Amino acid sequence: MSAEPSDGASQDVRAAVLEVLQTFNKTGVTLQDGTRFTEDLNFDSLLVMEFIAALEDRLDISVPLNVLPDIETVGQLVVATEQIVREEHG
Amino acid sequence: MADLFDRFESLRARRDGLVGDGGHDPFQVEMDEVLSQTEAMIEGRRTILAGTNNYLGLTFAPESLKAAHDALDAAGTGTTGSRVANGTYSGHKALEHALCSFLGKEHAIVFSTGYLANLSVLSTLVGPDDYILMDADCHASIYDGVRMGDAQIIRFKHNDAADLDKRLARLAKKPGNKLIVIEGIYSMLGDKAPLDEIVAVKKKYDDVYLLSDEAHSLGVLGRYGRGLPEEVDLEDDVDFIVGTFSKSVGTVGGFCVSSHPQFDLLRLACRPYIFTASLPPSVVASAKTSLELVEKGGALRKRLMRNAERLHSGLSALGFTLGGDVSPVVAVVAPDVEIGVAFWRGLIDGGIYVNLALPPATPQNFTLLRCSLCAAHTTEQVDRIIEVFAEVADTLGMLPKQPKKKAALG
Ligand SMILES: Cc1ncc(COP(=O)(O)O)c(C=O)c1O
Repeated sequence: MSAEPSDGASQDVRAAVLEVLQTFNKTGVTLQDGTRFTEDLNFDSLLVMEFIAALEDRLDISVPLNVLPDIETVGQLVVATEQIVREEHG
Repeated sequence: MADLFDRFESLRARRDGLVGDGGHDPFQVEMDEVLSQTEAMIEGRRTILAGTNNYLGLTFAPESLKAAHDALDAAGTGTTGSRVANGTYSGHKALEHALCSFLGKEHAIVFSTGYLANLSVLSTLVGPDDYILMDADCHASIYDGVRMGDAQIIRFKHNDAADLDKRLARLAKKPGNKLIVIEGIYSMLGDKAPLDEIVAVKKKYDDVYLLSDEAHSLGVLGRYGRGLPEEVDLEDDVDFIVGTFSKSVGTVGGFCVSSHPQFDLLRLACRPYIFTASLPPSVVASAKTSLELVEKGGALRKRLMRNAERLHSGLSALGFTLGGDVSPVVAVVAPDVEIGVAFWRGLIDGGIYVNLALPPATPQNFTLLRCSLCAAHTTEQVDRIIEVFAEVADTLGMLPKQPKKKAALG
């Protein structure tokens, strides 16, 4: 999974990811592409599951559990989510 | 230099925070002597066991004890190897035949535990181009099994057939098989799957299979104890049934049954079947005999449900919040982990053993005092469980002022 920012991607998906993530952000860290789930946001496995479920609801998608181990940062999640939205709704 | 075990620091901290004060540790209970299906000596005290999965009380069934003794004497203490590498005993085949005729499927494979049955089947049945759609509240063995495999893993909301439908609809254009995974009775709250709704959704799409883990419902539901599919008359719509001998059947071991013509190929594909030792003859013999008792166990099921209703309504009348409907698993929701631990200790001091279940192993992050019933519990024992719950709540100052009103323990 690339950590590159998602230039050509839809702003809607990025905005939705950030909006949902903000409701799970207990640290007050400013969310950026490089923000890391474990180190910066203190996410544990339980919180990851809850957050993913909320994201799935928000965007009406299924995020396979398989993609999660490769996602360390917010930017990587945005890229992966954009791809899922394209596949499921595109 | 970093110590190897530093990586468990957060686990250690959590444990010490919960039970580091020298009090009873809910996760290290020692039964000094098992007195019966429903009683054991714990810390020198005669204790009522309300935290086993011994739903029908078959662990001391005379017929099963005799079968186990006979097999032990005839075939020895163990098989010393796997079925594939070291050979199948006649008992293994006989048990598989018994499972086929009991559950009405063409094929059966016995595994060394239910955990290994799930690892085996879920890691091999579906491949990289396939999809698993699993209920989010599924057991750890299901999570571990699907993670061992290559299929895409999608979770749907617990017991929510509409959510499953939505997710299947989005996959409809994609090639690949889809395997839905549910449980008959969910282990923590004792709630049942809405099997009719799930089967209806399954039938809307092509290439969809259904697997149900009947670990907690085998022996418990259905006139003959064949689990949830029998109870709701949908046995032909469930393609794969996984089960365990460690609960109602009263011993250890796991299985999967199916009528798929190629089912036996799994024996050559499942690593947790090939690379572990097979069940010893005595266990196989008692499982087979106990399965017969399960099938004939209508009276036991009645007694079990009577006990379940008594405990459920007794605790509910006291004002406790319960996790689900009446079922042999009665889960009391505690307001937080600390109160849960204190409550659990109060119960054990009062001679009642239940399971303490904590997040993340619980649905909705509940802290649960999980009680499970046995057909062999007497009415007096059930009443005693209710009484001690009331006493402990009283000591901790937590019973609601208004009985009958449903409220959390706080
Ligand atoms: C739903 C479910 N599946 C599988 C298992 C595993 O069974 P076993 O104890 O035979 O490994 C359990 C219980 O532990 C369970 O609750």
